[in-house]
Amino acid sequence: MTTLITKTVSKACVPIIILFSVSLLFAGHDLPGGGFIGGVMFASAISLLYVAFGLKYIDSIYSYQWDKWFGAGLLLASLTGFGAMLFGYNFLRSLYMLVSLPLLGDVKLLSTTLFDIGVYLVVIGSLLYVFKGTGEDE
Amino acid sequence: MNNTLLSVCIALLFAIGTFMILRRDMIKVVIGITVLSHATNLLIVSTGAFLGGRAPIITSDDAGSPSGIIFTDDLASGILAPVIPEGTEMVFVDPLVQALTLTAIVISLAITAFLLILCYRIYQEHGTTDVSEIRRLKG
Amino acid sequence: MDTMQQVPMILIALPIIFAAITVLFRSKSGLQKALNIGVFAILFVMSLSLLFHVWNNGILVYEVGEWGKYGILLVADLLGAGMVVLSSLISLMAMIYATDYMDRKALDATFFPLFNLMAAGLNGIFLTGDIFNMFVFFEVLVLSSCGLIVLTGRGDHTKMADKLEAIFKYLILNMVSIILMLVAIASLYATVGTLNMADIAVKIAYLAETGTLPWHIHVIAMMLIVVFGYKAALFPLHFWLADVHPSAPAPIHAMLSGMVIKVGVYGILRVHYLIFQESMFMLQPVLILLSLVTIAVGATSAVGQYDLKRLLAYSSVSQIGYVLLGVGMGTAYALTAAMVYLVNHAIAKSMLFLATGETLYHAGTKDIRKMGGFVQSAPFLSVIFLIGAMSIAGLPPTGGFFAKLVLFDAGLGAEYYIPIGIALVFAIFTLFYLFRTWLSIFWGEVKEHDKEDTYKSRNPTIAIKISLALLACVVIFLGVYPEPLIVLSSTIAEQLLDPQPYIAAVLERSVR
Repeated sequence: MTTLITKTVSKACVPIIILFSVSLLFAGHDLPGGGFIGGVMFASAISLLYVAFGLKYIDSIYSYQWDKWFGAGLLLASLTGFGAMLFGYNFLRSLYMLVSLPLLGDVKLLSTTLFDIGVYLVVIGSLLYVFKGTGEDE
Repeated sequence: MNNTLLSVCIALLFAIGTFMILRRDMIKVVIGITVLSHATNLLIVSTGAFLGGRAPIITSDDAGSPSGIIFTDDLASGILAPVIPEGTEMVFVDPLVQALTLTAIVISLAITAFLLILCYRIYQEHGTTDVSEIRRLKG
Repeated sequence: MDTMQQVPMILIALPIIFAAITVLFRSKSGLQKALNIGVFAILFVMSLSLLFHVWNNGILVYEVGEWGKYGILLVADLLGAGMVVLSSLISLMAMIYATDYMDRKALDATFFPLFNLMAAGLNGIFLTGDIFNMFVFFEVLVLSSCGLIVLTGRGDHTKMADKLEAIFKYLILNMVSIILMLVAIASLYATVGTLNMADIAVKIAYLAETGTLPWHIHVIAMMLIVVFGYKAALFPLHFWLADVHPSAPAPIHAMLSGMVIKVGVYGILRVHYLIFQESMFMLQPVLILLSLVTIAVGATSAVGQYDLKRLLAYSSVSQIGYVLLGVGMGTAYALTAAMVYLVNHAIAKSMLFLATGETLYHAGTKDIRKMGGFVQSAPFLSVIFLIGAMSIAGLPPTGGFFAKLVLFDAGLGAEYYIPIGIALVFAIFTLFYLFRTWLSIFWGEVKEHDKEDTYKSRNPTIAIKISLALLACVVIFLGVYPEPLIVLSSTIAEQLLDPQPYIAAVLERSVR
C-alpha cells in the first residue's frame, strides 16, 4: 500500500479530514454530528496514515499511547456528569449560555460539549488502540 | 418508503444473517452477526412513526412552530402506540427510535471489533478459521 | 436526604470513573490494588446504606439529567438495592482475592479497568428503570467479562487457545440473544410507545383490562424468557456455561457464577413480574418444567466430571435451576424462597470458586484424580471448601440449609409435589458429588509424595485468606441467623407480586 500516490494523497487529505472531524464534533448536539461521528472520522484519518506510511515509520516519529486517550476521554465524560452534582442538580444535567465573542459573534456554550469531547477521545482511543494492537502483530 | 417493502427487506436481512451465522467459517459467522444487528436496527427505526416527517433536527427557526405530536399520553382515549392521532400534522419523525438505533450501532461496532480481533487471535492459536476444527471444549 | 438521592447514580458512575483512572495509571499495580479495594469498599458501604434507606423510606427514583417525562430513570426498590448489595459484597471479596491471585502482567494490563466496568454494568442492570438501558448495561457487562476471561491467574491451568474458543462461543451466543432482546424491545415500543418499565406495565394492564391485549405481547414475553434464560443458563441454553466459566481465572469465575448468571433471574423477576403478569399463567409451567430439566442435567453432568472447575460449573447450572423453580412457582412464599436461595447460592458459590482457584494452584493440576490428602498441607482451604460444599448441598449450620428448606416448604405449600420430589432427588445428587469431590481432594492418600514440599510452598496469602474467611463468616451467619434475609426476601416477594408501589413511585416522579 505504501506507494507514492497513497502517501501524497494521504498527506493532503489527513489535515482536511481532521479539521472536518473537529467541525463535526462542535456541530453536534443540535445539528447532525457529535463526538462519536467525529471520533470515527479522526480515527479513520490516523489509520489512513498508518496504512500509507507503515506503523514503524509513524512510531519512529512519535509513538502515541492511544489507551491514554481512552482513559482521559472516559474520565472527562464521567466527570462532566459529576459536575452537575456539584451544583446540586442530578447527574448529567446540562446547561447552556449564549456568549458573544469579538470575532465569532454569538456562540452557544453547552456543558454537553465537554461530554462530547470525552466521547470523541474515547472513540479515537479505543479504535486506534485496537487498530495499532492488531497492526503491530507480525 | 413503502411499508411492505421495508418489512420484506428486514425479513430478508434476518434470513441472510441467520444463514451466515450457521456457516463453519468464523469470519462468515461474524458477518452474519453484523447483518443480524443491522436488520435489528432497521426494525427499531421502522417501529417509530416515520412516514412523511422531517428528520428531528430542531434549528432556531423551528423554535416557535408546533412540535409535531408523535405520541400523546392519553390512556383514556386509548392511544398507546407512537402513532399520529387523527387531524394532527406531523412535523418531525420520532427521534427516540433514532437515538436507540444510534446506541445499538455503537454497541454493535464495539462487539464487531472485538469479535474480529478474537477471530484473528484464534487464527493465530489454531491456524484455521474453521469452527469445526477448533472445537476442543466439549459443551 | 439529598445526598442519599444521588447514591444510585454514584453506584454506577464511580466504577466508570475509576475504570478511566486505572487506564491512565496502569503499571503502578501497588497503588492500583489499594485504590481499587478502597473503591469497592466504598461501593459496598454505599449500597448497604442505599438498602437501609429504601427499607426505611420507600422506593427511591433518580432522574438522570432531569430530562422530564421520557428521561432515563434509575429506580432503587428493595429487589434492585438488595441485588446491588449482593454484587458489591462479592465484587469486593473477589477484588481483595484477585490482588494476590492474578498474574502481575494481568494486573498491569487490563484487569482493574475491566473489573470496574463489570461492576458498573452489574449495578446498572439492577438499578435501571428502563428496559433499553438494561440492554446497554448487559452489553457493558458482557464485553468487560469477555476481556476478563482472557486474563490469567496463578491457579489457572487453562490454555489460551481454549479461553479464546470459549469467549468466541460466549460472545456469538450472547449476540444472538441480545438481538432477540432488541427485537422484543422494538416490538414492545411499537405496541405501547414507551420504554419505561413502569409505564409499559400500566399500559399493558390497561390493554388487558379493556380486553384489547394484542397476542404478540405473549410472544414478546417468551422472547424475553429466552434472553434471560440464556443469561441464567436455563436448560436448552445452558451448554455454553460449562465451557466459558471454567476458562476464567478464579475471581472472575466467582463473579460470573456468583452474580452474572443471577442477572438472568433478576431479569425474569423484574420484567416478567412487572410487565408480563398477563402472560405468566402460560410461562410458569414452562419455567417449572425447564428448571427441573436444568436441575437434572446439571446434577447428572456434574457427577461424571473429573475437572474440578467444570464440575462446579455444572453444579452452578443445577443450582440456578432451583432458583428458577422458585421463580416459576410464583407464589409469594416461593418467590421468597427463590430470593433466599439466590443470595445463599451467590455467596456460597463464589466462596467455593475462590477456594477452588487456590486449591488448583496448590495442586498444580485441575484433575481431581491427581489430588489427595491436602488436609495436611492446606488445612485452611479444606475447611473453607467444606463450608462451601455444605452450603451448596444444603446442610446445617450453613445458609444453604435454610435456602433448600424454605424452597421445598414453599413448593409443598403450593402443592407442587412432583417437581419438589424431583428436586429433592437431585439435591441428594448434589450432596453426593460435592462430598465425593471434597473427600478425594482433601482426604485420603497424598498422591505424589515427592511433591509435598512444593505443596507447602503454594499456600494462600493473607489477602486471599481474609476474603475467603469473610465470605465463610457470611455463609455461617446466614445459616445461624437467617431471619433478616427471610424477612427482606418476603417483603421483596410481596413487592414483586404487587408492583403498584413501584409504578406509583416512578410515575409520580416522572410526570412533571
